[in-house]
Amino acid sequence: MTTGALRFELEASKAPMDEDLSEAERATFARLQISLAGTPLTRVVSTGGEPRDWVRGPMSGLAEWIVEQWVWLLWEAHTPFPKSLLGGKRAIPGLHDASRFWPDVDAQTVRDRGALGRWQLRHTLGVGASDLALPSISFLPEDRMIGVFVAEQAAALDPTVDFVAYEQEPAWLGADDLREVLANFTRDVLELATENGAVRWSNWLGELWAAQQAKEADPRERTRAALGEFAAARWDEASATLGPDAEALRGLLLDAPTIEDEAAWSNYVASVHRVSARQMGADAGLRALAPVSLASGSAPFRQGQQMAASFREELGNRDRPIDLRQTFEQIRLEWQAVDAPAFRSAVVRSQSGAGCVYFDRELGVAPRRFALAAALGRLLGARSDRPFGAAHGASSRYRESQRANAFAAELLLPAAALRGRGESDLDVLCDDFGISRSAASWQIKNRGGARDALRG
Amino acid sequence: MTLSIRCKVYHRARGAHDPGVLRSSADRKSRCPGWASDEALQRRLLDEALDDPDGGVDSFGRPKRKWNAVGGVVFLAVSTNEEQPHYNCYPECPATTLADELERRAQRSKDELLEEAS
Repeated sequence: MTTGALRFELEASKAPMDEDLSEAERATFARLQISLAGTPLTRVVSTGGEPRDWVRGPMSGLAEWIVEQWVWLLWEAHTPFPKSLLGGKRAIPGLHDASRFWPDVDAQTVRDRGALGRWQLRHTLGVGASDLALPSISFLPEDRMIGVFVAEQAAALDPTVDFVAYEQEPAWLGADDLREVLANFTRDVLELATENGAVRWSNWLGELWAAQQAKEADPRERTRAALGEFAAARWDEASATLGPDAEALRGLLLDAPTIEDEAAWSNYVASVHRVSARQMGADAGLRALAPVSLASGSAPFRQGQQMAASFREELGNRDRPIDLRQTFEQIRLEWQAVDAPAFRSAVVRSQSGAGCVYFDRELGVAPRRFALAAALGRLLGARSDRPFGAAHGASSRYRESQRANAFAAELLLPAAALRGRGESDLDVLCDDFGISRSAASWQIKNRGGARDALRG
Repeated sequence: MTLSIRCKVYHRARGAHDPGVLRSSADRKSRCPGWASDEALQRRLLDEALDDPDGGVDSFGRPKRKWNAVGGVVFLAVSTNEEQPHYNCYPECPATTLADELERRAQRSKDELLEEAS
């Protein structure tokens, strides 16, 4: 599941008299069905009952959660955990992980459990505000798209229902779509509360809701939530200096860990400014490449493989080892080694058409080739001529880095090159194609045909 | 004004002392272990509960969320937004900046907590 509509369907239900409910809870008692791309996420099996597609209970707490977390759930892009790896697999922590104090998060990588707890509060539906049983649904905002991660429920809490469906792969929604769905739900709950006599609560939350909506619409607040306090405080000045190329800086910062010191901030600004300041004569900027038409519903790694295959076609090299230096020269993309503890590679393209890939000078030969190829994948994946910036590392945007990794693997070791080669050729393939064993294994695993070829 | 816990019937444990009226028409995310029905323990948990730094306030200006943990269970108390300061209390994931402290507190036994009080 990679795309799809999210739906919240609310149906008022009479609150039972024998339950100890507050006024707001009683007034907002309802059935709720949440579905994603047609799959009911609230499908439950209750003890002794038939499966059903909704949960029932008070909605006041859930509405309070949405109001309270409104800006964060729509804009906070940075996570206190690496997006690239969690417990050996790509994942976003859900309720099951949180209920056990996140045992799969490497304590060396994430020292601050409090930051994890706060992230969970801000991004996991209803947590910390509502005792209604809900599936583990976490929202990961990354600029204009929001990942919806449905995970295992927290069985350790002994919930009264079992949710049937959850997905390993996230769905991606437009931020506007999620905003509309959650805003409609909140409005409906407020109306329900008013109709059923919880006027004081409804007025109180309604005022908070209006304030939060105004805050969320403010570009400065969005920048603060997306990039962090430090970057937001310096954003106007950087924007004035860089002009339209500030968009490239924004892209870099979305992919970087949260900036908290002046030196790191200056490095990011300088990396854009260096490209931005270059004067481009005619025919000197990045070469225009034929756009690749990507199926919007296909998985990011498939899109990356498709992009790499198209790019190789354009280079006239379908299955031979690729010379990255020559390739970068062909498309007039520069590269430069830098001290980059926060990322493996980064790419900047300016309004004038200049482009540069920065890479971590500490990388060995094969990881460097992969990092350069991934940065190229990020650039090609942008599919526009606007100023662009992206960094490729543990904090990179989830979907884009999945696509770029697949692009890099396919660019360096195309599936076409694996045909007719045996598994015993793996070392030779790595040497010939300049790719690490781990990346080659990853590529083989993700290319069914290639795996078969190796077995043969 | 004394804070009190609103311990919903369905958050209470089902077991040997189950009064038999626990079927709810609402779907709840959690249920309490049997030992949590001890009133002295509940009082102690509430007295030493931590206000959530990111929790904001309820419609009466009181802390909206309070956290505590004992016996491997993290408890959340959420204001019911009523004039009397009631808190709806139930087991919850440690979704708070207080997670480290809650993990430490969760390692205490019920008896240790009550001994601390006395």
